[in-house]
Amino acid sequence: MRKMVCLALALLLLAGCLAGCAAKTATESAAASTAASAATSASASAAKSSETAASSTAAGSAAASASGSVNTELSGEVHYSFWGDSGSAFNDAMVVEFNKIYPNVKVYIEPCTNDEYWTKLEAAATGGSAADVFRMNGPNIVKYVNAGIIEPLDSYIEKDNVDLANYPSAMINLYNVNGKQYGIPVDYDTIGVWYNKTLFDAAGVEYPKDGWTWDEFVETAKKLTKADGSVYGVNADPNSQCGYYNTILESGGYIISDDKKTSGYDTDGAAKGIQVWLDLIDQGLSPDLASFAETKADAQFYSGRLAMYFGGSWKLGYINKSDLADQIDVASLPSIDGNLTSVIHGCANVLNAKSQNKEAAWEWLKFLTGKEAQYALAESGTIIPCYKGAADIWVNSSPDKNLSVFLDEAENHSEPYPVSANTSAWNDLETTYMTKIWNREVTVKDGLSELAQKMNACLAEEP
Amino acid sequence: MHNMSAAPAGRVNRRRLQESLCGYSFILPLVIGIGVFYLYGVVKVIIDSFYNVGAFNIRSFAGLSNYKALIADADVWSALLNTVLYVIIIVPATVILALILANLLNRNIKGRPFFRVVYFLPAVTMSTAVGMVWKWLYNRDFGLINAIFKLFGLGPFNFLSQTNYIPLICISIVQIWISTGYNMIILLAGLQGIPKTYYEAASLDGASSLKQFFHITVPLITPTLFFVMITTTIGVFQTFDIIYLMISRISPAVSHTDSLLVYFYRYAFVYSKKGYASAIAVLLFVIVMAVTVIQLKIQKKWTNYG
Repeated sequence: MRKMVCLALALLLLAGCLAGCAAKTATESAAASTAASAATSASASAAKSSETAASSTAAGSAAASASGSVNTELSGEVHYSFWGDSGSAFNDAMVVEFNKIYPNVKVYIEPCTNDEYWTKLEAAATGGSAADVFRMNGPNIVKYVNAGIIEPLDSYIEKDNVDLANYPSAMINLYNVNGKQYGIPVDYDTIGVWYNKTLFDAAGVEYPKDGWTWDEFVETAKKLTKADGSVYGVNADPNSQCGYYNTILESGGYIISDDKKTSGYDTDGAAKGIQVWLDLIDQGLSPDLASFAETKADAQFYSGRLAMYFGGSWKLGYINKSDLADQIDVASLPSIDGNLTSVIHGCANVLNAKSQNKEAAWEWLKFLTGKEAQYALAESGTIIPCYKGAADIWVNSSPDKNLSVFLDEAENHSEPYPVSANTSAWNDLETTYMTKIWNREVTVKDGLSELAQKMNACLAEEP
Repeated sequence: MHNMSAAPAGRVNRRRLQESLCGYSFILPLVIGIGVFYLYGVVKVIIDSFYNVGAFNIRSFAGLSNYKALIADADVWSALLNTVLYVIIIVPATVILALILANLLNRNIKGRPFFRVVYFLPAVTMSTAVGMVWKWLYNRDFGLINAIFKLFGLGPFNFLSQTNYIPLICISIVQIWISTGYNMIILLAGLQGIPKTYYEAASLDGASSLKQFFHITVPLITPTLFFVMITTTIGVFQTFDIIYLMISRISPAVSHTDSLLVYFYRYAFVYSKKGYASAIAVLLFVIVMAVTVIQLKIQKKWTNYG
């Protein structure tokens, strides 16, 4: 009896293996996965793209005919990873639309939090199991291109006549490395000051006006801060993109030279750009660093502890989901010495050079950056899409908010986000030294000059 | 005369071989698992410490330069100091508390199974959940502990963001909370191995509970105590998860709470300097090995395997 049970179980395992081997597409290699994963691959959301799990729809694709320019016989799996969880619902909806054109391609969405995305991506890429299509940003594009992780898209763009004039040229250039196009931009962003209208009304303060100066901003923060500490005027945490990059640029300093060889942190403009934040804390208009270390600035803003919040345009989705959704509006950044500057950045979707299913992956990438998906993205009210005309739809997605400030900054008052070949190396230095400066362990001058020294050493090591 | 009881040599050897093969095949899966995931990992880390390994495992030979940089790196030594402090605070506290609790639970009190479960629960709860809840409890502006303090008119206390060793003590409390239950169960098992007759004889002679504890329980539980001390020490030298969860990178407390393993993680996965991180891991390995050897040598003096 026992022998029969053992034999039956062994046969079941074997059958599972063979079921996995049976259905394969022409584009996938012959390696079979284990029996267990074959049984669960249909529902697996964590299956890696380089390990070829069996595609159960290959049999169906042979039957479906449909001729035309669209190759509906395309099948297989495509894994897409990105960060920013305000995008998950949107991407799920896009998968449904995509499957109307390519019914046989299974798209797996792999969302991730901002903090962990790069660690996870690097580990996956090192192991050869990164997603087929994944989101990329300016600081990391050169590093990944140099390591051969990303597939150049020029041949695909030519074959399908993708018109790059539909995207902002600055964004196209950001993802053009050594003359080859490595990504198609999806969205761009600039920084603004989100503010809580209810707190403004309660304190009897006028809403911020267009073109307001830093001094006017400080005065506003003073009127909004309550003595008992229940409300602070603003967040003065050491945030690069939303905080000190912009004030440094407005103060006449810079972060990295145009030839990417020297750091601008030892300039007077940089020192001034950092000091304004410390002054905010010293004047009691912002909680101190310890407070932000324990509770993030945006959480404090959504809970009504901060009247104003320096945040990017991408915060729109989170704000509309928060409790304060319709109490929040936005103003442009305050200017320093007459300069209004915001860093502008944008992300792109890129193709994994080691993808096992490049054709289907390219179609998914093209779809996501195509007109239909970009307009849908604009309507979802999260991030500003790059496609021509989509940004205006985005502005109208929340008509109660003054979202056009972001577009105005992008067109007239922006500087590219500072990057180099290995940006993350000196980004880490920034975090370390800004923490020391904010914590008053070093003076602004000493901290910045040490940072500049070390950053120059990093830049010297770059190719 | 031939010795009839001895089977011919060939048959005995084959039998022994068969039994050995049987035995080996049973332990083979486990040995392969340990070999691949542990031994290979250890060997690779030691080798990597002599290389510079960057992002995507791009490597170049570095000789001893990682170790030279390690010795000169002040942050490594402060992380080591923090780790040693964790061990000094957590290990005695956990072991003593576990012993007391095990002793209490060894009696027939009402609801004994309930208490056992309650004290053991922290050990089986995911450390992520524990870290996040305690981080909120300790939160200076919004935390539960400070909210209770406010009810009594006490000012908000800064648990986790001071530039001194207070955050280290607060994190140690969390780790003690986690580890005590596990050690308690082990000590309880040890206690139940002590024959009741000793206690009966002692109470007949008029010994008080306290005297019984110190003169019967403690000497007879020293083997289990030794095991618990070694495993807890090795475990605490490797504290990582709750520190990583509770202290953010911009916290003022970073340099006073980082353990060696947090430092290792930062170099390996945030800065992508896996060669240097491997050198840190080797340092930790050597230290834990040394401490364990010392403990093994000393234990002969104080454990009674009676």
